[in-house]
Amino acid sequence: MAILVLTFLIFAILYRFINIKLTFFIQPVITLLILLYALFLTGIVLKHRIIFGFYHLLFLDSLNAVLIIIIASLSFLVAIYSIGYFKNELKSGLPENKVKEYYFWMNFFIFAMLLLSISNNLGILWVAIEGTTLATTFLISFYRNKEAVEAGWKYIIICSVGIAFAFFGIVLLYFVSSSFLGESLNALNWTDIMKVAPHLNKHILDIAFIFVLVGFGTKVGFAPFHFWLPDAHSEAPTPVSALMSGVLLNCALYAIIRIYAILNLDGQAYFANELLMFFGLFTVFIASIFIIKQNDYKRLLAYSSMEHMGIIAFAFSISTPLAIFAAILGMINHAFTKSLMFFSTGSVLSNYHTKKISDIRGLFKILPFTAVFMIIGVLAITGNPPFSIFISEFLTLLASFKANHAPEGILLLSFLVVIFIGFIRHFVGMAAGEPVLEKKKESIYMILPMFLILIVILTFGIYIPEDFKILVNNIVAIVKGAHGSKLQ
Amino acid sequence: MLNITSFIELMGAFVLFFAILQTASHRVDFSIKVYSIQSLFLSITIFVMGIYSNNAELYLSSFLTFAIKVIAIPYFLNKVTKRISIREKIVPYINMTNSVLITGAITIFAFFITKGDFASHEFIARRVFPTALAVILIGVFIMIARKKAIIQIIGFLTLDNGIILAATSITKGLPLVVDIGVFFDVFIGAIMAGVLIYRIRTSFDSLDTSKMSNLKE
Repeated sequence: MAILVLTFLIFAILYRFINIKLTFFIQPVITLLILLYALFLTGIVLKHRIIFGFYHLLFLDSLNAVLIIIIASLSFLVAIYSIGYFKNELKSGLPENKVKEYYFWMNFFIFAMLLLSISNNLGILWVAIEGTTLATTFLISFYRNKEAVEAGWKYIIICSVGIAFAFFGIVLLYFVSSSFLGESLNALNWTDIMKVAPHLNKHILDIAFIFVLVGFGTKVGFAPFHFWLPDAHSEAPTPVSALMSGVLLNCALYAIIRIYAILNLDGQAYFANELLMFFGLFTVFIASIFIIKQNDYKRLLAYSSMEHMGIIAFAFSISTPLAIFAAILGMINHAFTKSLMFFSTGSVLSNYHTKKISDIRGLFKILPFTAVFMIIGVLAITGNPPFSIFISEFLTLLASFKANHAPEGILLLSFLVVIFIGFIRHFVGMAAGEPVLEKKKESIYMILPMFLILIVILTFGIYIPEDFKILVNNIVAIVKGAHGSKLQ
Repeated sequence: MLNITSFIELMGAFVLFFAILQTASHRVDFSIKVYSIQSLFLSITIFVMGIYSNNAELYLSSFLTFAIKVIAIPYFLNKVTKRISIREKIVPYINMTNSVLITGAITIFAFFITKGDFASHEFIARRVFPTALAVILIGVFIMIARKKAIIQIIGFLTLDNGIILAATSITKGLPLVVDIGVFFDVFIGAIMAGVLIYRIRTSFDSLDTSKMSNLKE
C-alpha cells in the first residue's frame, strides 16, 4: 500500500527534471496504473474486509477503498484534461516554469489525499489533511492576480484555523483513548480505538466530535465556515477546481465520518446526528440562496459542491443502511458529475476569458461538444434521471421519509427545487442565444475525459454492480460502528 | 521549595502572559519577539513535563519547539517584514485597551468552562489545561481583531502554541511521529503564508486585509 502513496511523492519531485511535453504524457499513464492498482486492492478488500500495511499505520477497508477509487480515477481524468488545458495556456503565454510548478503541487496534493484516505492513524490523517491545504494554496493563487492572491490568503488562514480546531478534537480523542490503550501510537489508530469505543467517556467524545466537525467541516465547506470555498474554487485553474470539488471535499467529509463511527455504536450518536443534520441542511439552504443570485459560473459550481456535501452529510445523519448507501453513492456521483461540469466550463473559460454568466451566449454554435456536455452536466447535477445523482438524491429523500425525518426531507426537497431552477436559468442562457465569437476548435484532450465521465454517470444511473453493493454493506457496518469488536 | 507541578503551571502561565502581551503590541517586530519568547516558555514547559514523566519523546518535542518556533519561524517572519519594509503601526479593529480587557474575560471564561469534566481526571498539572484553552481563544481573538496579514499569522501561531500546550497538559504529549508531522505542517504553513504576504504586498500595495474585497458576493 505504501506504493500507492509514494508514487505521487516521487513523481512530484521527478517532474522538476523532466521536459514538460514528456510530463504531459507520463502523468495520465501513472494515474491510470494507480487506478488499476486501487481497483486490485479493492478486490482484496472485498475478500478480506480489511488489510493493513506499514506497521498498521496504513489500512484499507471498504469505506476508504471507495475513496481511493474516486481519488485515482479523478486524478486520471484530470491528468488527461490538463494536457489540453495547459497546451492552451502555454499558447497564450504562460511560462513553462509555471506548468512545472503546477505538476509539482498537483502530485503533492494527490499524495496528501491518498495518505489521508488510507492512514489508520488519526494523527497522521490530520497531518495529511493539513498537507492538502498547503499543497493547494499555491495552486489557488496560481495566476497571481489580485483575486487569486486574496483567495489563497483566505483559504490558508480559514482552513488552517479550522484544522487547528480539528487537531484539538483529536487531542481530546487521544486523551480518552489513551487511558485504555496506553500512551502510544496505537491510541490514535482508528482500528484500535474502535475496539475500545464502547468504554470511552461519551461526554468528552461529544466535545471532541464538535471540534472535529467544525474543524474538518471548514474544509468540507459546511456553512457558516464556507467563505473560502467559492473564492478558492473559482480562482484555481480548472483542473485543480475539479479535483478540489470532486475529491478534496469528499476526503474531509470522510475524516468526519471516521470520527463519527467511533461515537456511533449501533446508532447511538444522537447528538452527533443532530449536529450533522443541522449542518447538512443549513449548508444546502445557504447554497441554494447563492446559486439563484450568482453571476459567476465557477462560483455557482462551487456553491453546488457545498449543496451536495450538505446532502451527503444529511444522508449520513439519518444513519439507516439505506441512507448510508445513498450517501456513499452521492459521494461517487458528485465527484464525477462535478468534474464534468468543471471540465466543460473550464473549456468555456479558456475560450472566453470571462467568468460572468451574462457575457456568455451561444455556446452551442461556438463550442458544440462542450455545450452539449455542459447541458448534460447541468441535468445530471440537479438530479434528473437517468443520471446517477438522481438515484442518490432520491434514496436520500426516501430514507429520510422512512426514518421519520419527513419534515427535514421536505425542506431538503424544496431547496433542491430552488437549485434546479437556478441552474437551468443560468446555463440555458449560456448555451442558447446568438454567438458573440466565431466557432472555435475543441481539444480532444478536453473532450475525452468528459466523454468518459458521461459513461460512468450513465452506467451508475441505470445499473449498480453487485460488488459495489457488497462494498456498501460493509461500509454500513463500519459507519454504524457495529462490528468494532469483530475488526481484526 | 518550588515543587515540580507548580513549576509547570508557572511556565504555562507565562505562555498565557505572553499571549495577552501579544494583544497589546503596537509593532510587528515586537509581536514577533513576543511570539518567540512565548514559544521559549512552551518549550521549557514541555521539557519539564518530560523530566516529570520521564518520557524521552518529550525532550525531543521540546527541542523541536525550540528549533522551529523560537528560532526558525521568527527568523523567517523577521526576514519577510524586512523585505517588504513594514513601518506602519499595527491597525486594530479593536483598540489595545479593550483588547487586553477582552483577553482577561476570555481567560476567566476558559477557567470557568473547564471546571466540570476535566477536573475529575488525573492530570500532571491540572491548571495548565484551562490556561492552554485561554491561549487558544486569545489566538483566535488576535486573528479577528487585527487587520494586518502578518499579525493574523502570529495569531494563528499563538493558537497553535495553545493547542500544543493543551496536548502536553492532558496527555503526556502526542506520539512522536504525529508530533513531527504537526511541526512540519506548521513550519511549512508559516513559510507559505509568508510568501503569500509578499504577494499580497506586491499586488495590493498594502498588508491591510480589510482592503481585500474583490471577491465579495
